[in-house]
Amino acid sequence: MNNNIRVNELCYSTLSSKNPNSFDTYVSLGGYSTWKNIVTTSYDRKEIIETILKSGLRGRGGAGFPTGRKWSFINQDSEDIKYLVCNADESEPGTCKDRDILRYNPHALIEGMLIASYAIGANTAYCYLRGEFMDDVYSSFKKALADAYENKLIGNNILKTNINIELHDLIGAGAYIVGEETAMLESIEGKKGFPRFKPPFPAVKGLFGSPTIINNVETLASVPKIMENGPEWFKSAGTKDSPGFKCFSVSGHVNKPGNYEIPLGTPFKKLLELAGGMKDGKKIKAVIPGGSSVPVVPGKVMLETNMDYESITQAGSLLGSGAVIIMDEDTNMVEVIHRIARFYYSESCGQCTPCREGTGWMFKIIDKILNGKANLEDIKTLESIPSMISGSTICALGDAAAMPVESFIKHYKNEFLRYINHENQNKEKIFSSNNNNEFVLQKK
Amino acid sequence: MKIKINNKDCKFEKGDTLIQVADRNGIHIPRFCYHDKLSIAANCRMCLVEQVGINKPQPACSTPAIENQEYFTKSELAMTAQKNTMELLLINHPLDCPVCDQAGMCELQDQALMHGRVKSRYEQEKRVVIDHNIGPLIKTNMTRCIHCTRCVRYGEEIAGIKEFGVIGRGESMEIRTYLTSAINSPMSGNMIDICPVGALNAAPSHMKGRTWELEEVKHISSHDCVGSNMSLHILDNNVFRVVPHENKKINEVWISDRDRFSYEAIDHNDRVKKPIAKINGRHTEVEWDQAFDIIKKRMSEIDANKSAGFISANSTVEEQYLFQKWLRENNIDNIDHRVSQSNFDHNDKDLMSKLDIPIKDIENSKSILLIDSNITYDQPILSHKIRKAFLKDAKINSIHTYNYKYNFDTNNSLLVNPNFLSETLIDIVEYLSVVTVNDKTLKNFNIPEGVKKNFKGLNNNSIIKISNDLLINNSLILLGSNLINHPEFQLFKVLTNIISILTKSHKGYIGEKSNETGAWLTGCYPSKNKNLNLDGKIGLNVYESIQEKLDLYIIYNLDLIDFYHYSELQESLDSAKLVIGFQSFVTEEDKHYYDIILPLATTYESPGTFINIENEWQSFVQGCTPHYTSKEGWKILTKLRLMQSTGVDKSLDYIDILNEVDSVVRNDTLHVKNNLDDFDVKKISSNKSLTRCGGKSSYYTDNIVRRAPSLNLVNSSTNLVSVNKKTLEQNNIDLSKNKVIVKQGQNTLLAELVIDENVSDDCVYIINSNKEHYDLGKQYQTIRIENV
Repeated sequence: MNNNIRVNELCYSTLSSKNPNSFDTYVSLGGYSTWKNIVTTSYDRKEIIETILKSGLRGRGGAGFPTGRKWSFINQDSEDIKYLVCNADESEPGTCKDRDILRYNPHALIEGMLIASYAIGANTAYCYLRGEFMDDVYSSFKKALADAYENKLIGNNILKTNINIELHDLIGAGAYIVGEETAMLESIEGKKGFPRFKPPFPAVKGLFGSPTIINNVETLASVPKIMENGPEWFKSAGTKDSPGFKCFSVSGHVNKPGNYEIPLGTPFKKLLELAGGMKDGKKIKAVIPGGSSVPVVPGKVMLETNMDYESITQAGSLLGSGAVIIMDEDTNMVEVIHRIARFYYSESCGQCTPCREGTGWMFKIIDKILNGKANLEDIKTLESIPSMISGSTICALGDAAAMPVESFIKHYKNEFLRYINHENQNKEKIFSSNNNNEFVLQKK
Repeated sequence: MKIKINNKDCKFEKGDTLIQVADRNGIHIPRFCYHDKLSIAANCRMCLVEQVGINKPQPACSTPAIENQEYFTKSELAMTAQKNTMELLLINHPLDCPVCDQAGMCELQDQALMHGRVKSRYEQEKRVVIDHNIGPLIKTNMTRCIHCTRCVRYGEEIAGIKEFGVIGRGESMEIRTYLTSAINSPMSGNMIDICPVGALNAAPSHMKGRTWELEEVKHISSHDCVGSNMSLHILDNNVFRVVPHENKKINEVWISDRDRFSYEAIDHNDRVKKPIAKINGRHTEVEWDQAFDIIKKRMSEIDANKSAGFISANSTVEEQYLFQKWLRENNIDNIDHRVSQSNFDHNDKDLMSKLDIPIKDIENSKSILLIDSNITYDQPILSHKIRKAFLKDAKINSIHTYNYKYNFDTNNSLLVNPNFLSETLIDIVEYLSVVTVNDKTLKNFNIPEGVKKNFKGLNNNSIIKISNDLLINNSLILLGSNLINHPEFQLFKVLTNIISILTKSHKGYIGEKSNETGAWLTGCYPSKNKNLNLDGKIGLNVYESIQEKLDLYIIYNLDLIDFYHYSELQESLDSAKLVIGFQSFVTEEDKHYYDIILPLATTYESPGTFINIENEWQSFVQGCTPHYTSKEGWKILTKLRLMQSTGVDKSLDYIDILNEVDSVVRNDTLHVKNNLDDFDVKKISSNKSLTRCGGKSSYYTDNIVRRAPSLNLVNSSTNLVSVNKKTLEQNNIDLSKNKVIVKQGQNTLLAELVIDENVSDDCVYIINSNKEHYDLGKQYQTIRIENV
């Protein structure tokens, strides 16, 4: 219906085929031609990085760091062992884009990993999948990997060119924190998933102490097409600073929740249209535009915003992993933040103080508010905690836990206050879903 | 290179972190997880400081110093970050300082005072952590834990035995043993010190005193050969606890559990509280003067030639010096300290009682050979040094009679039957004689014919590998203390010496006593005369003295089980006319052998000097005044000299004695002769019968340690006998039963059987850890094993 938007051209390009995840489908769509070309012509490594750099591809995991620059941190010519790690531990609440790439287009990821490994001079690459992918996602990827091995595209002496790249699949045990790149390295090494402090950065000292590059699934899956069609093709979509396509996982109160790969810079309105518009024709209240870790944006503001890194930053949030959570006018924002805070409370790894203690404290206060037992002082305390956590932790989970709380209070303070000034309100309405003994007694 | 911290110019070297630079320049940055001996964790976030140009506070412990960069540790950004961390650290901390052992020396308390709020804003429920029993030495209170992981990193990095770990996530994260089990490391107590809060406490002193009531006295450990520096914390004239005192050359900032918890023995039931004399066949408590009079009178009735004195190598230099002086002044030349040595052959060849490199240089060795040493448990500090060498890629090899558990990995390890240990060492000499044949520097050294005639051709690959590793520059050979009981002990020493000459290795005998060097220097052995000059053989050594059944025996600071010839000694004491004991402790069974027992102060209650294995003199003052009516050894001996010796008319001060010892023996070199021409290998034991082997339990090494109650809980005193399966089958032992009877001569012992492949063939491995083990018989003798 929206002919003017380019949809599913990159990572989801196989979706329109009958067997999207099969080797044959991928090859019939021109897959692996880039890789074959690279290995058979002993392609210049620097040129690959140059191409990616020119395309302006930014990390799709959440931080949006330019991929080409990340790769250039590695000294390609050194004799050291180097590793490539693909971060397929997609756990950000609301995000499911990587799952569908692994499920429907695993060969693009494999080819991307091979090209990236070649570019940085790594002979070993790991793809670390989240534990919850155990079912179909893992088997789809494993099948694809076996096919690629069978066709001698991976392994020893690839296509008789003396190039050796091994690609291993790993499956995690379900901890959110392992999605943090250095915690993932620890996990691959067989240790507890605790993020490492930086510096040293993984590009200097990563997996098993060797230089390591870690990229998101979507980033790596974008690489083959960029190499095939050239950076200009990629830049033809998107904006100047956010070129290319991005997968958005739209969820919440919309008619057609799902993954949509669209050019960056597409207005939010269009994305909402793609997703079938608001459910039951309700009004939009708020949007979390990049996964639960980013600040919430009021719907009004969001409707005026384009889906690219800069515009969303301007709207006071972050593009993050591209998980767009849309909430309608009936949403209770205190309940939403209660759920989000509980997530970070139980997923904090516990290693460093601010996050270990702060996430619990925030959740407990929000819980108290939701139970109608809080006072104004509690809200003041809650307001001050995010700033105590963010910026002072080893990894970004601290910030991720702090930002939503901060933004929810900023935009929806009234809703928090309603739970406190309940004397002046219709008690029954507020506590309708609450089995608070104390209150029941009062009513009697 | 320079950086600016708080506007002060500070020099730094590449790789320094900010906190290191700040520490060197006297700028204090608060910290919990950072410890200069451990790896960086950066998890407490207490050391956050401002780096100019970066708007986020940076952790000083993990931030490398960058040339010309400016930092502020007390700016608003830094202080806010530190305050925030402090508040967050305290929300789940129980704040039970009034009942916490750590209060008063608690880093969290100090920081809270500086950075904390007056009142907590946290009103919710606090985390409570269930404590697990981790053994008798450490009492946990994990609710107080702030998860700095110092103890976890200590176990992994320093102790080398990973016992503590992090379990769980987020707020339910917990530090504990992975399975509920006791902590086994012989250096576990150091976790108590590095714990910045009161989560890990010393169990023996738990809830028994407050930090601010304690007085600190620097002391030297008497339980191993390195002389760890420690501080005694004194409460009401009792040792309340012992903590390490930093000495970069010796123990760094660690001490072994043995040094830390031995003090508990001071008031053991065996303690001699008053002088005791046998009057009319009955032991009676007497006054000191009365005891002195009895000694003077009774000793004058006995021929000096028919007298002998034995002193512990754990006694101080001053006591050893005065002891031999007192005896020699009274013409008693039969003096010895080598009571646990079994054999005195080749006595004049080589004594090698010390280490010929400084302890701190062990970690720089490139190759280390351990000869039958259970070093991780017997000498934890030395083991730590070897572990450091191991971490620097040194090659560690071991030849042993039992596969000891080390806190480092060995390159090659060779398990041999103790009866064939000398042959193994001769094999090494043989191999080395071949490979060093062209070495011109060895031109003047001839391998003694007595050794050469035992060469028999080589076929053992491990021996070649081990020998080759010794040829690496900067290698070290360490002879373990268990071997002192071995009948070929002197042979091992000589062979070790030959190997060290051939390979240009350093060497050392790691004795278990704290002052063996002192005992040699002060002449507590029979080859010295009155003026402490070597004068051939003058008196009888300990073995001869016992065999001769003399009339007078004087035993100073030794339990009878300390003697290798324990059973013979009992007979000799029975038949002697007079037995005098200078003892802090006497068991009820031993008591009846003595005619007079003088209550001796323990090392904790006495000043003194120990000379450690590397010849380092370390003096200390008394921690507390002697308990009961006991007296310091130097006082008793000075009084006896005044009463008995001719020409002694002036009572000496402690300082006078120390000065005298210093001037007489400080520059004395140990009696070492390298002339090995007439050396002959006398094969003493090469029987194929079942042999008892094993050493002492590391918590049963001296009269203090074996009476320390908490250590004794670690050292389970059950009778365990370990034998490998092959040997058991050869001796027709029913493997389904868990009990066996072992027999030595007429003595039998019912023991629990452990089928243990770490024991060499034809050996029965028994670690001496209670008196029954000594009553059974001697180590390295024939033993039988039977079904129950």
